[in-house]
Amino acid sequence: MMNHLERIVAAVQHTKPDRVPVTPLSINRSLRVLGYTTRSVLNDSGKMAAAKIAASALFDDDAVVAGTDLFVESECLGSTVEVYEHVPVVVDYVIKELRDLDKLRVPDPATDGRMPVVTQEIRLLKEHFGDTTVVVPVTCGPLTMASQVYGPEQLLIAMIEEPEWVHRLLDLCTETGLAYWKACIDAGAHALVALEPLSSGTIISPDQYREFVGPYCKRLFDLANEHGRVPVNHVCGDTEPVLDQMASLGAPILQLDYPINMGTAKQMVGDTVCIAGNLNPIEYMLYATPTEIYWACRDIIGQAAAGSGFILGAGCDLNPRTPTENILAMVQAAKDAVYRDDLSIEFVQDSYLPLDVKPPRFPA
Amino acid sequence: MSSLRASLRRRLAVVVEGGRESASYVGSGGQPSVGAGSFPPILVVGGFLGSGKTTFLLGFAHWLTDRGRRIGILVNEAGAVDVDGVVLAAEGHRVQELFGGCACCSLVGDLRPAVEALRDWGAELLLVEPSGMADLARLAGLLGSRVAVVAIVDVPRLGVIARAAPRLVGAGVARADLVLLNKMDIASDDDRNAAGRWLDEVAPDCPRREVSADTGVPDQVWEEVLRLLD
Repeated sequence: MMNHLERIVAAVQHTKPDRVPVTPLSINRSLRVLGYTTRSVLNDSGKMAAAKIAASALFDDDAVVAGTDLFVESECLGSTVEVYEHVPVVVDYVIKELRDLDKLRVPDPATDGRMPVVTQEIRLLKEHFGDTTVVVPVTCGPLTMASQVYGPEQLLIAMIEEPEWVHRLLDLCTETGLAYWKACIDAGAHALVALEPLSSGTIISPDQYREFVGPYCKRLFDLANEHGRVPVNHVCGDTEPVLDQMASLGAPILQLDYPINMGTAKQMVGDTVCIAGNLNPIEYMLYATPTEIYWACRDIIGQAAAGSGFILGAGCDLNPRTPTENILAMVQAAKDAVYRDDLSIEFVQDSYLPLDVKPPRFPA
Repeated sequence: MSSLRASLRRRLAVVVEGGRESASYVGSGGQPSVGAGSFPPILVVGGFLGSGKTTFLLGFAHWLTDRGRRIGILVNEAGAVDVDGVVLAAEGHRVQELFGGCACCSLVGDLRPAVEALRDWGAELLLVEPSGMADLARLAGLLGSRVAVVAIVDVPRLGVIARAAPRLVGAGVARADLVLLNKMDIASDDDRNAAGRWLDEVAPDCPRREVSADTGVPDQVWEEVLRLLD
């Protein structure tokens, strides 16, 4: 049997994993395994690592996510971030006018804000797990970081009215991301996720993605690749209009949200990248039953797992109230799906099939 | 029944002990059932930053106050109602904040508990003002069947906004039950005509009304909004 890291690597390389890999995206949710809230451990590397280790043992999934949120970088740049139980939020954007941009400087990951907290968490996780599982921090993509420095709607307007200033801001955010990514790499991260919710196809157009997202994310991905680490490109919402662009940026894993049909994504980009996802984190993972989740995951596996290059997971970060039974149902669906030598899938059992209930089916 | 078949019926028991979770397999059992529950009628007020949705929401809240309605207000931007929220609370309403800049991901998971809290407080009607970045269709879907959406359109700035976030703004208006073309007091004829053409394209069947929230919304528009919740 493969260990977690070997299983993910096989999926990324489109070779044969022993069974479908699974990463439910239990980021803040993992903290609850030891009874912590995000706010209570935000500056405590030891508690964060302990909770992630306990969650890994409980869920038995294939990756451990370091960090708690995507506000670390913008907080270092000077925005004021507050955490309400588990949701960090910017309560004051550091720049009110784009011309104030010159007042900002690229943070030092060794000393500034929560960057040292997360990199220390990575070290602790790497020390505990070695190369048995994937240690992967979540970080903020450049466009989303820019929105946390200036305001999301203000930024979108500026993309039309003052594009040259937006590019200058994006350059600073990318430099910030590069410094943070290098520190995470030095701390031992196997992979790094760039979270880019603002670049969702639900919000911006493919042309905007091409101009304001792709070139900047690519610089982050290039850095990870140069150091032999795996960059992961995550965009929330409907990304089908930009899927081809996302696949061309050098990140071998695209982590996709629930609006995408994984079969369609597999057809579009599955030959070149590994796709991960994409069960609805709220309507299913938070509110559905374990049986419903198990069978919905099997539907997704059926759409996209054959041929390797697939990781089962939620479409986005799980809510901290997500029931443990639901996460375990997702993991079980992956464990029940083994790869044959021809990289087709065989379901070895129906763990969540009550004898008196027909398996539920859901629209894609 | 074979032992294999029995094993297929296994279920998980999750135990929380001393704040720490653990899990073990147990025999088959019933499935948990989690539903949206029953909520009071909900009005979602959507619109881009600066469109006037907070002004509209506060105006509607005051109009309802004058008619003796007990309302709950849910906002998801820090400081969105600010002092006005205090005023509303003093008038007997409850204002609850739901934080987060982007209403995707885990934030929407907190939506139902927040609405349930306002329902349990005794709200007859709920007014929800999401962030301008919210996916209105998804939010409305999570809130059950007694939901109406009013989209506020900033007519003078629509040309820029529709280019800045084309899919977001277009999808929000397409989900709306009523579109309010706001700031008509300062809109030019060109602005009005351009807004009309844009709406003909993205939401041709949605009723639309011209207003100026700053200078006062006519009673018949408030009444029309209220009828959406019947």
